[in-house]
Amino acid sequence: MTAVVAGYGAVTGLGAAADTWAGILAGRSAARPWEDLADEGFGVTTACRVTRLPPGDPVRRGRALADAAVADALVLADGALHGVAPDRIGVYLGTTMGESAGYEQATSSFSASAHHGGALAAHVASLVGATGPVRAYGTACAAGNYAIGAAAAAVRAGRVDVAIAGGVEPFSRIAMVGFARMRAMTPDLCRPFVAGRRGMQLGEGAAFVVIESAARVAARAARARAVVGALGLASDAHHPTSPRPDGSGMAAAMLAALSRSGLSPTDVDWVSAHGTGTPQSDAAEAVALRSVFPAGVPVSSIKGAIGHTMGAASAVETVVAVRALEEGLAPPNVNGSTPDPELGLDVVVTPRAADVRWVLNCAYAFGGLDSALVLGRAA
Amino acid sequence: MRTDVSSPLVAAGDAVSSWASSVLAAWGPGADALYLATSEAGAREALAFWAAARATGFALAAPGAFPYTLANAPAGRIGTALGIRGPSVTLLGTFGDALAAATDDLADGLCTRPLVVHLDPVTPALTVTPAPTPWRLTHTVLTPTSLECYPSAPSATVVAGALER
Repeated sequence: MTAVVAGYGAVTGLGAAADTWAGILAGRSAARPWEDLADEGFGVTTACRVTRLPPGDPVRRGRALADAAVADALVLADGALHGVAPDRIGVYLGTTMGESAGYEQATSSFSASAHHGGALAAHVASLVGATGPVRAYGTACAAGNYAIGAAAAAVRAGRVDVAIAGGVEPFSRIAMVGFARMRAMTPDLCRPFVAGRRGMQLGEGAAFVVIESAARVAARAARARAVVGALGLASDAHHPTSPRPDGSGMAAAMLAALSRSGLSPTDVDWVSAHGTGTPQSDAAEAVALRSVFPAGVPVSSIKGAIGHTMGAASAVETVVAVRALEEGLAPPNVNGSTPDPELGLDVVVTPRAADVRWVLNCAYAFGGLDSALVLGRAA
Repeated sequence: MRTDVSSPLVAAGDAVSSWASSVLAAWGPGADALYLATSEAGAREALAFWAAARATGFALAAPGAFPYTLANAPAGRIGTALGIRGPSVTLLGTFGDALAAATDDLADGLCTRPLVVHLDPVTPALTVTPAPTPWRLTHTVLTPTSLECYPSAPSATVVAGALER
């Protein structure tokens, strides 16, 4: 059975899915300084926060982001849930900090279970009326891939008929302080794969896809927007935060995804890189890419455009990959038009028209987590 | 990136993972994947990190403590200690959630011998003030033959003494 994306939705610093895609193609960045962060004493005040939604209750920001992205995905999926038994609908959600403001504003009656990703997943399940499997992946900056990969596998195996899968990450002040103190954040722009890159930029956002079997989408005369292939996972088992410099874990995940999808590296037309803009991570990723794709492959990162949206990142990147497959366009590496030649990568610097049949979406995380998800053009 | 291994917050964050790793060491050999479910991992660390950052000012927040605020920090430490290079999956939930995810992935061919773990404090965090707390570790190892007896795969539970903060 083939799993396909029937609908997608996203909300980022650039806007909804269509605006995010258009903004990336135009080379726009959502990064800007924020007065409230300056007033609160943050040393780094530039971030890529969502302005599409009203501020609302900060402790329920993740839920609001998820609501917006899921709603858009269901509209595009055009009747995906009609006539589906609730226990045949699954929800697969990834996040890093959950409702971070819940921790930031904790009182003596704090309860972690009210704020972690499990609460967000339960919220989405309630939103769509799902009583099937509900999974919350706390796999940090790779969580979106984990969720979407698991959802597609569940559809292929017949464990669910429809899966709502994605990632959510409201703006986290904890992460803003943490990354800044680790000296991982750039003082200016996030420039993935550029010589002299100085670090990441924090973002917030959410993205969800509706996944069904290709047969089911065809039966209800809806449109399949992309094929979801296999997920490849590996671990560095090396360091709490730094990747293996030889990129071996990253490469293992990429090769596993391709192998499990019945593909070889030469089948890949574009790699959506993790590309955080940090010196170490980008360098390790470049080593991994060169080892998996010795003949080269077009590569770009969207984090220069929308920042690092952590648990939502690879879910947003999945939506962008679907757009790339639909449009036959590899998007540019925003803020990265002068790639470091020492990295030896074919970095896409302007939108590149191409016969995009297969995309590999890569995401890595603290704790040495390595993930790669295959996405393909729908028939 | 800087990490400050001398921070008391880092030491506290490591206490649980170190204990869990020592228990699981006997079960780890041969495991090619780690599925860890938790509700509380990272929660106390996040509360403590943020409280300390607000007290000292953000410019003096402990840099090495931030990674421990993530729910997948224990899985990262345990996987490194046991040398697991396959999938590392942290789920926010119960032992049953980890078991279900591992069983699905085992059936799908993502792994062949996953170590399945649930790690949480005996009592959940109800206060912003961290305190020594006993933790409960439930664990099992699945093999392809375990699929025949899911969800009744045998497991063992170990409870630590209060781990110092």
